[in-house]
Amino acid sequence: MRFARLTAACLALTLALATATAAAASADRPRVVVDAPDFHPLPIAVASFLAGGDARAAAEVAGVVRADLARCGLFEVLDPRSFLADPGEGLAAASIKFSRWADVGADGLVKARVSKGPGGFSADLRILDVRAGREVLALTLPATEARDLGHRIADEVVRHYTGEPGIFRTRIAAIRRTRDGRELVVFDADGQNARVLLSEKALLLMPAWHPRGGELLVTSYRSGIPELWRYRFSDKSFRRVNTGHASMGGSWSPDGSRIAFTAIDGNGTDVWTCNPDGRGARRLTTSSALDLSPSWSPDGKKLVFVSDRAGTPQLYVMNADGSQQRRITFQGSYNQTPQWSPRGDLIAFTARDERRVFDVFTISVDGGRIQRLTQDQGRTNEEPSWAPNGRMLAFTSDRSGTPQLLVADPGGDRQTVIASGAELMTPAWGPFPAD
Amino acid sequence: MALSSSGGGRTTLTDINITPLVDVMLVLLIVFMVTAPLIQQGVAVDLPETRAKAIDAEEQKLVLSVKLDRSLWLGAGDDAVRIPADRLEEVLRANARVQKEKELFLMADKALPYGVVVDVMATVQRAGITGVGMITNPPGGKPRRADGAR
Repeated sequence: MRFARLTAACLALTLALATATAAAASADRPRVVVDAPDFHPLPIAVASFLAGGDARAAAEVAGVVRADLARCGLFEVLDPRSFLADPGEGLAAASIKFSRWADVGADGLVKARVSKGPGGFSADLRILDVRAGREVLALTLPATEARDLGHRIADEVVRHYTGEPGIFRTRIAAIRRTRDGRELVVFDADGQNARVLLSEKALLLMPAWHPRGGELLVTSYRSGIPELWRYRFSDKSFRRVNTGHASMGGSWSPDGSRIAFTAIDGNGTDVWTCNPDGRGARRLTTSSALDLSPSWSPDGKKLVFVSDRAGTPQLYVMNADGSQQRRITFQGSYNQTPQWSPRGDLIAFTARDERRVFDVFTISVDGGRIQRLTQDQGRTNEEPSWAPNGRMLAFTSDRSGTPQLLVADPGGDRQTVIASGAELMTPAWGPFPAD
Repeated sequence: MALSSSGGGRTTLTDINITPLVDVMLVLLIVFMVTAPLIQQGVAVDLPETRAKAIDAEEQKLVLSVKLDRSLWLGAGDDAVRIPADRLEEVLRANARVQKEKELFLMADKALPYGVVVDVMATVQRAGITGVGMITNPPGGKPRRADGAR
């Protein structure tokens, strides 16, 4: 039984095809509404972008837009090889032969003119409704780099159709295994532009983002035992957080005021919280079992965590002060690495089945609805992390051998390998960019 | 006295082996003939006249035209685009509309050699399209366009 297919049908986008110019009433815009049962990706054509000077940059920007829109699972991005329109066709609706776009199956049409100036690039972006034969959005976007311009355009397309912000300018942190140690690496959300922040001989694990993106909390064995450390982007500093315990798996609360973590003591582990500097530590779980891997609800009032107090690792939810602990998973005998969706509705986790194969699942917060993202795709699909809009997940998979970094929609229908090569572990999807 | 199949009792025949008796893959190109008095606007092609069943006016498919000079055109009327013969399969294979509908309408000039039209149909089939509607004119009908190659 493939639960992912059911999810796909549920995660849905509904299109009201009535459109208006960007300035007109937003109620008439084509809409991609969440959670409708008749979801179909919107067929969208991204025309070859016109070049104001730099044809290569224009082609690169269009390629980034196509890849972004295809990856997010909301669109069916049409193959440019099918296009019938004149490549030099203009941006204005009056100059566009819409029947040629209808003939390749397009509902939406994205056009742009990419210009290069002294400060970087800019795009004159147009979104057009093919059936209505008119423009529905016109916008000028600036960017210093071509790839960033492509991500900005893709974000605007998502915003236009869904009313929600896109995630194409966010970043994903992960741990990469090297020949003699571990690296803390940050990728763009499409897996490009990898930057090594730390290269360590000691074990490095489980990065977690500050809610505003300026820092990463990492578990490091630099001092011989697992402890929480903070990496700051602005000055590249790496400082230990003294929690008073051997600690791992830190997670920042959504307002940045507290850190939840797993403290290791004697024969067990417990979930604690502390201030970002390590002070004010407070124990939330008291069972003699293993309690670990806390993740905050988006309102900061609850935590999901793993406990084996009932004999096997299962997911539990509790209030942020440790009260009202209750179990939410009752299927399977090995459920771990929970991550609460930024939308608040779902918790993603890794489950091991009876064949000892690990797969990524989501469960509704009340525990009522379990959905499967991966199945028969390698032996290990694990460590899911939500995009800040809650519409995509990053995870690792060994489906092609060495564990790779993938992104997918929550239904698992559109899975894309975005980084591979050396072994990648414990991805953490960062927040929306500040600008 | 249950209907047990073990222990030498009589075996029930409830389990029919449903191994497929026939495992033949038929690759068919379904050709249907349609007269198109008004609804389809193609390029200037002199269509044959037949008494074929008229197609539903609701039904609009991607139109592929073959002119007397053997040039290939995709699309309707003035917006039709000439496609080089060696790119036709790729263009159709990449076309999301025709790959969903799995059918297109073919408008071929009546003076074209049979072999030329069959060649185009074979390319269409290779591109994964399973149905071809041969567009014809009704008997005594007007040519498709006033500027048709008459």
